[in-house]
Amino acid sequence: MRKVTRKTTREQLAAMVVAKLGEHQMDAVLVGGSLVSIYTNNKYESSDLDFISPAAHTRIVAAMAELGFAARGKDFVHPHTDFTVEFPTGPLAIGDDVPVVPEHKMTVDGVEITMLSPTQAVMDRLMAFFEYNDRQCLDQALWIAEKHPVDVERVAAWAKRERKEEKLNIFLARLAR
Amino acid sequence: MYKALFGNDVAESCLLYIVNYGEGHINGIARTFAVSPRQAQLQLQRLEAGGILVSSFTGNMRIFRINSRLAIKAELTALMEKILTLLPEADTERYFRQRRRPRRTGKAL
Repeated sequence: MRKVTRKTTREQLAAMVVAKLGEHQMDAVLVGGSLVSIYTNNKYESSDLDFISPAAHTRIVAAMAELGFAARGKDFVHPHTDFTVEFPTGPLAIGDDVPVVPEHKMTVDGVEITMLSPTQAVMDRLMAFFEYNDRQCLDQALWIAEKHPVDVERVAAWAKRERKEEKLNIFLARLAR
Repeated sequence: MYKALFGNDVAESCLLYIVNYGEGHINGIARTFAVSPRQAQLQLQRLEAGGILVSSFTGNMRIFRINSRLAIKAELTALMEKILTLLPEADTERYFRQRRRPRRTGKAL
């Protein structure tokens, strides 16, 4: 298997993590800011790779050690990369939608990575805007929508279920510009 | 940008900040725009006295928000949102893109 080096890209590292977990019969879904990096060709650069996995943390620690990652708090760090890997507590959720079924797959170096679709990633980013007024995340949602087809009706229906129509309208107004 | 409409720069900045982030406190606003806390406080209190803003305490910090009972809340918010979209990109990045989503304690920025 390929080793983690300074040249390992975010996508390659994600594939290595998924492959290694797979060797140990564990699944993981790629979520969070790294999706924005992937969907926007690095317009936003996240140095974290967040995976949601139902596997026990002790098993994850053992598998990640085989890749050379050491647990530091909740992060996994590696001496040869600035990327960190984290396994936030699941299940996969976007607001009150729990659990969420990831709708996208990306193949890197022959490894299939399960991840949120662009529409789901937009909803995930918008959730941070809705809840915390985080305008960085509003921008990120818009950047994803600029680069990929997004089911705006579905986003709107979800935002209404979350009772965030007012903020949805800010997103829609900027999307229309 | 439209300080004539709001009376002065600091009042406009306070309103933009509060609409942008949903809320604001004196020191946070003062730090962001590099004005004295006293200047920010005076404008926030003026806007509160005029019924535009309301405030409440979180811990020992007074937090200001747009008054939800303000009859023109939707229109005022829409106006401020519009102004936010007209700002130079550098100003948007500098003043209105502070991270607000959670970051676990101890996690590197």
